[in-house]
Amino acid sequence: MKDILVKTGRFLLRILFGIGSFFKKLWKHKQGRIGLIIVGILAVCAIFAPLIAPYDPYDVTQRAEKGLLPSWQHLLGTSITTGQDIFSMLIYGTRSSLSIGVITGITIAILGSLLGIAAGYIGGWVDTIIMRVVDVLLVIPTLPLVIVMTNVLGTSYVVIVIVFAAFGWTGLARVIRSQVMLIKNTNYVKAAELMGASKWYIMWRHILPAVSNLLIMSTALTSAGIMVAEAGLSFLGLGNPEAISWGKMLADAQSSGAMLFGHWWSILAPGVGIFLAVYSFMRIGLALEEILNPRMRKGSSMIKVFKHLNNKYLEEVFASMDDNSKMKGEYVAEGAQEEVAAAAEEKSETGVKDESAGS
Amino acid sequence: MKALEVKNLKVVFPTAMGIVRAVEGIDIEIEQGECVAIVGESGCGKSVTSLAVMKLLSTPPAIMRVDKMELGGVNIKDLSDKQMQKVRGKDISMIFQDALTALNPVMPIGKQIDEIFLAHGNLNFETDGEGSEHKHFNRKKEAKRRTIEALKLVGISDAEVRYKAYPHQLSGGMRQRVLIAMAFACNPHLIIADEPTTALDVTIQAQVLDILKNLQKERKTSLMLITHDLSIVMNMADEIYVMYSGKIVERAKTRDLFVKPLHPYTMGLLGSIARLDDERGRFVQIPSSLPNPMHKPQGCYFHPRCQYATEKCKQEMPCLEELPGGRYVRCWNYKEIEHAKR
Amino acid sequence: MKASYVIKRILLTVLIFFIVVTLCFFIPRIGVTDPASRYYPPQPATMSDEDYEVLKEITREQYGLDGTTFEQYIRYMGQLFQGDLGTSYQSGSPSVIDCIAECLPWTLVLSVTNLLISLVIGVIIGTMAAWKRGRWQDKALLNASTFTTALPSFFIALLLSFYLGFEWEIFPAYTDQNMVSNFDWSWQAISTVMYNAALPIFSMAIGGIVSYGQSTRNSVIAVSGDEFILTAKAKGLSNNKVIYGHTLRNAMLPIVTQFGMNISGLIGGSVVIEKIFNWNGMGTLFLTANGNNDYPLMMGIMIFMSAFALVANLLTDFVYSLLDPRVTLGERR
Repeated sequence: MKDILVKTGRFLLRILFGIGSFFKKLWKHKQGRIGLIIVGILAVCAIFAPLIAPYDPYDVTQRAEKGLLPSWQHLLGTSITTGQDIFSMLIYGTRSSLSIGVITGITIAILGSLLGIAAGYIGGWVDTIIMRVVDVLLVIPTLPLVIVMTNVLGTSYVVIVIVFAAFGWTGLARVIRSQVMLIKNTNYVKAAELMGASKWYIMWRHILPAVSNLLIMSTALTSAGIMVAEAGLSFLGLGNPEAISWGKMLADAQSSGAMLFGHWWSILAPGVGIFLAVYSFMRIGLALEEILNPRMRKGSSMIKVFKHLNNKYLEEVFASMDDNSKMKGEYVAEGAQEEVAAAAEEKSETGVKDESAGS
Repeated sequence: MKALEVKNLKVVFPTAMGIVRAVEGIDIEIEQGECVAIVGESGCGKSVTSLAVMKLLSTPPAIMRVDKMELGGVNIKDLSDKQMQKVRGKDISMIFQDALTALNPVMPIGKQIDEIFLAHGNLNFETDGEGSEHKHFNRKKEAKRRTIEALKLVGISDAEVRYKAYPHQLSGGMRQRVLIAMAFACNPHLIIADEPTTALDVTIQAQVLDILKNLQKERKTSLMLITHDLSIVMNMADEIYVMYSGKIVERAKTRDLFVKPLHPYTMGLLGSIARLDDERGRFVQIPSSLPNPMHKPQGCYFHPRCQYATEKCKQEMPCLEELPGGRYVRCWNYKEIEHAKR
Repeated sequence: MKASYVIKRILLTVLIFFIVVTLCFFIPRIGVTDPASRYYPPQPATMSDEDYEVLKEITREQYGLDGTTFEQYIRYMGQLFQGDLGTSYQSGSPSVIDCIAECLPWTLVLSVTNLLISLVIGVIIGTMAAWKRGRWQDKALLNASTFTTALPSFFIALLLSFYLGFEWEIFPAYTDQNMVSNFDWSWQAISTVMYNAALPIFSMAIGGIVSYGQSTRNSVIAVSGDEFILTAKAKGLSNNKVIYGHTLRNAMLPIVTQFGMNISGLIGGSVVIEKIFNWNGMGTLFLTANGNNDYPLMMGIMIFMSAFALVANLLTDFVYSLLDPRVTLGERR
């Protein structure tokens, strides 16, 4: 009994530690930090929406006069059709957008990794079937298919998540599959197989950790994609009719003639909401891609150092080559000291050789 | 006339981490028809040297300085990139290490050789080898004819068929032959071969080296052979430059070098060759590895790995000292070492 | 390219098409025991239950939903085999094919123009960015690409129609419906179409240009690091020959793949944009069909779109195998 407790405790600690270091890495990355901050703000808005929003847009009694202009009472005015406070709707809209994005993203990550690993590692007929399903799903146009599904199954929250997940896993499964096939043929996996490790053990200990980075990264990116798709769906009036969402706000604004009246804020506000949510998730995803795959890093360090290098210094280096007595051991650009320290730290973390070091 | 004369070539790469000193002032002289080998570990700057001679280093990141660079008596130091384009492929050409990556994967190999003739060859006249030239107007046809000739020269059978083949359809040895045919296409003064056989099997290696050697002797072309493998140098090169961490540490005629190496690094390199008449119990190896090109040691770069290192070696870099018999060595203690070995 | 590859590839395509059709047939029937129940008129108080059953039967026949599901499936496949996608439930019951034929050209006007503009401008911009690697042009493209990917095209469309359409009245914010009925291939009609199409095309093309630009840039940079570019330079080729003959030729391979993917989404990709600008294309047709529960039309459109995508994929693979000799048709996955 005590053993189990200790074991689960350790396991949980390890997971917590993993998540902690993961966020630390992300925080150190400049672009990742921007993403994290925006997501944090949006998450606060979503969780504490009733506290932040001045009105409850769901409450019929709290509706004001229709089509009010922005004022201190109504920061972004009120909607033309219902008289709801647009600022409050904006805050509440965070809930549906973020939750659908994240929940669907995670569902897709689970589904995609399971099917991708199964196809890649087990191979054979399992692989054939899964890949044919992928082929089929890639051919059918996604948005029309989702529209038909919501027509048939209704537009509740659960249905939307399920439908998006059911048709969104194909890309991820493909990527994971090819990655798994690479790992499967590495010598350390073969060695483990020779030593008699079971398939489940290898999947759990070797393959899952190897694709987990890829998985986290693509979860952020798919979440962003799902948020766009959900906004599009509710813009078409096919989302959850009861929930307040940014896409629906846009559709309402357009159909109620906000453009004719010149109410640009009622279009801009939900649009900016969608943009911020999608942008922050993409930022995180791209930052992770760069952190996990250092070769992707957009190398501009070269140009930075060129600024620090004055000609005199370069002359000194060249001259030292002629005169053996002047030979110094190290040449590190003086102005670049800080950068060098930072780069060295980064290098030791990623353990990847600087490509520019010459051949 | 010297095919190539380079004086005091220096190349550095400024990077975020500091300045990488890849090549630190080396001199190269190659006589017409001679084969010179530059030998050294990977990372010692020999590939950078070859690219620098071709003036193919991209600047930035590289910064290159040279006091004198003459190709067949013509100064190429100050030539612009546009002028260099007329020199490359015609007067100086290069054989790369991995033929699979060095050939364009989506272009038939014949077309890739054609390009050289179209760029440099005097294609208005047909040269049929008899010395008689008659006027020719179809440049492409003439280029193709010469390409097929060049392919036959390097021992590719069915040259007409291979002309249309893509690189991935040929074997490794075949691809390397294509690169050799390319290099010899315009009969240049100098060919630089950068590890020409490293990517090949040992048996194919011998064939390819034979072709290279025969063509070089036949055409009296100069060859600059860049390699880390002393055993292939033995039969090919007339003179050997041993390079260590961006500097020449020893230069000697092939025979002299193999019989009596002076620099401890050369001794180490020779010690690691397997020989049939070997009486040693085990190979001599050089401990540790090449210094980081950004943090080179004070004094002689080789001293941390040198078993004969003295206090002086740690303080000051020795000069490349000229010895009688056209030998050069960069070591403070070569005489003492020679004595000690006896 | 071997004939067996081609045949295998085509057979696979046919198989996938068959599965797609089956899927499109059964999806509307998920969880529904009687699909016709959506269309039954309410039972009049005076009508007896038996008579109402007869009325139901008549309705079922009218909508082609009589017999068991399997019989319907066989009938549908039989029709499809003869090139018939069934009849729409719209008033006047036009055939599905006619509906599609009427709307398809209008969608193609939008999407084909968009695709070509995106491709041409994107490739040019991307090549320039690769050329100016690390400078501000390159960084601008990188930032624009994250920016526009995060901006849904329908939001761009709304902003454009608000400012260029309503506020400044440069382009029409809504499509003139007379444009469709009065179209007669005269220059005036064509220019009207282009005038009306400007905003929808532009709002789609912004994202497309940036995405082609970014992938061209990455591809060109990747290829120019390859060793065969060094070989080409070592041969003494002129800069133009190196760039056009070697770098771009190889860098275009991934762009062909992207182009093929975009072609397969040519018809289904403009649903939301069409709705915003009231454009009378396939997307609007589909949304109307959805609003009317017009299942044969929805199924027909989806099958048509899938078939289009399949053919586009096949052609892309074919073209790719011509451009890249290392790839044989049917091998690329």
